[in-house]
Amino acid sequence: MRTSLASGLATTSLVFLIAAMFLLSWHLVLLSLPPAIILAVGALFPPSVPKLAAVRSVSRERAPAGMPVEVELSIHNVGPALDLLEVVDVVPRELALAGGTNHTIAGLASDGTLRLHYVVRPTIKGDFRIGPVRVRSLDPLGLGAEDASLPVESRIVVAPAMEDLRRAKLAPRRTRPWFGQVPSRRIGIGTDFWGVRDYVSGDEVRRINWKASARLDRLFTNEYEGERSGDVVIVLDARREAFVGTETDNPIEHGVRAALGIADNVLASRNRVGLIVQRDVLDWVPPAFGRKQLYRILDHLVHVRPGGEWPLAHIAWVLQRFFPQDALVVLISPLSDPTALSAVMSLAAGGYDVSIISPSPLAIEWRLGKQGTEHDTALRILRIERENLISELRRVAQVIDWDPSTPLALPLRRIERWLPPP
Amino acid sequence: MASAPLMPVALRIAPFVTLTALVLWTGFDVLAVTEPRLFQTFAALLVIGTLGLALANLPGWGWAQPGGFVALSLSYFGAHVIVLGVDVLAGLAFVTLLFVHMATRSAAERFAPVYARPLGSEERILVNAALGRMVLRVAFAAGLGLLLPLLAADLALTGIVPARTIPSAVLLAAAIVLVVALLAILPVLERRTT
Repeated sequence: MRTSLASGLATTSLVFLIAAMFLLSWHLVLLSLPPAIILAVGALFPPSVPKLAAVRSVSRERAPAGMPVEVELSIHNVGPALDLLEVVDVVPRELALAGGTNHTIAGLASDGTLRLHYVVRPTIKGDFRIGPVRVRSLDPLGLGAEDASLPVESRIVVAPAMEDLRRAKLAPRRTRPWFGQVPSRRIGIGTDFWGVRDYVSGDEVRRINWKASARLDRLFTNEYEGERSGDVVIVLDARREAFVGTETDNPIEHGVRAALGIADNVLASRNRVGLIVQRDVLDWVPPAFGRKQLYRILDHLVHVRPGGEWPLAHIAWVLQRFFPQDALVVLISPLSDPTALSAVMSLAAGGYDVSIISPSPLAIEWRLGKQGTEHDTALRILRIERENLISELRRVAQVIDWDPSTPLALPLRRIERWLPPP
Repeated sequence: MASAPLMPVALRIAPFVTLTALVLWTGFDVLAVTEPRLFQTFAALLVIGTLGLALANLPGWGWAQPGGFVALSLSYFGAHVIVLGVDVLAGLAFVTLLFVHMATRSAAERFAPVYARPLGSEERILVNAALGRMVLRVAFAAGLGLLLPLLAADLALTGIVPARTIPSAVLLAAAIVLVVALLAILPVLERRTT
């Protein structure tokens, strides 16, 4: 491939020649020589076509956001010697370079090896691919170049940072007939005292209430409140209109963090958790128990990107068909959609317990925007509108208005139990 | 070689130094033009060329670079061909300096980002060697570009090659066109044979 410099030199030479012929000036003929001589020197050492083999290794293929990942790229020259070789290992912009370099220029002898070592720090969650390796063999005068692309790709899956919700208690109100940790308001196996009844043959001796038996001169048995498990469905609103702010500071990214924290917390108390993500497609994970389910949910959350313009009411369609009726629906949405109220009302009317965690887009915008009188007034108006919407939603659901700059555990701790509003 | 933090700065400054030299040189020569209309024309070309080359450094303005070179060259050579008369040595030096400017610009674009990041000692040696090779090759080409035409001029003036007749000038021009054309297709032919 000829560079623009080579074309420029050839053109300059020809222009001087033509001018010399028109003006019959030998001076101009002489002036046409330097570009031609430089082109000739360049043509004596043309750039070789790069024949390279590349191997890349990464220190970890799965990492949480913010954790550095070391990358080592080794390029072996299996072709002729290369005078000047420019190498760029293509790194997605979400992976910030934290050390070393992914771009270099060096000569590479035949059978020689060039090594690049660098460190990337993922700024946000996602499924990223490093590569391909783009190489350009250059003529040192910059007159010619030969490009090649080495299709070597490495995958790095970056998990979102998880909200610390260890001290928050999240549990569904309605339970299912499986043992768990949610008080079921039914007699069963548990630790919370429920009542006393007459002893029946076969009752365990350790459950006999000796004080009541001694006072009333017949045997009584303690009964306990059964602890069962329930279902929680996390619905994440990742539609385009939910995106406000920057790539790292927006309601969708904060929603992903919250969803993962809630899933971890609810699964740890032996409940089933399902997930629905409303993005450019409706993506869902059916409810299940255990650690594996957390990884399944994590895998889906990693791929969340803003997209799609579905109405929020579409989640009702998935809920009705693929999720149990008595599940607690935790909707994570910035509530920027004007149809949110009607969608939540129709869910509540359909018999679902609905709780809403709303990462405030106003708080994000306020942090990013200019501070001034007009902005103050605009923010006040928007805040009033949002408060109106939230107070209307509170008639049918529990709503947490969350400023994402604070930990989610704080507003969650204020809620003792996910009861429906009175 | 300069120490690590100085290298990217030196590389970024080098094209500006050569460009400043070209602009000042052209400016001085244009000032010598006494005819007001021609002076205005050449001065306008100089301003356009300088602006074009300066703007070409901004992101998204790369397209202004060829136009800038053309305007600057037209200003210098126009002034000399039409008014001042062509001085061979100065003209050759100007063309060579233009090439050096383009080469340093290309080197700065390639090497400055590499030097701007922390490099390991082994890597630094490789990059330094590559930069050294590039500088050496550019200096060699620039030297030849300046000296060979002077030698040719000397030979012509001493009468060994009678280059001052129209047929000889046409023949010389044709030969140079042939050489340029051969140089242009040489890499393609070479690639086909390998």
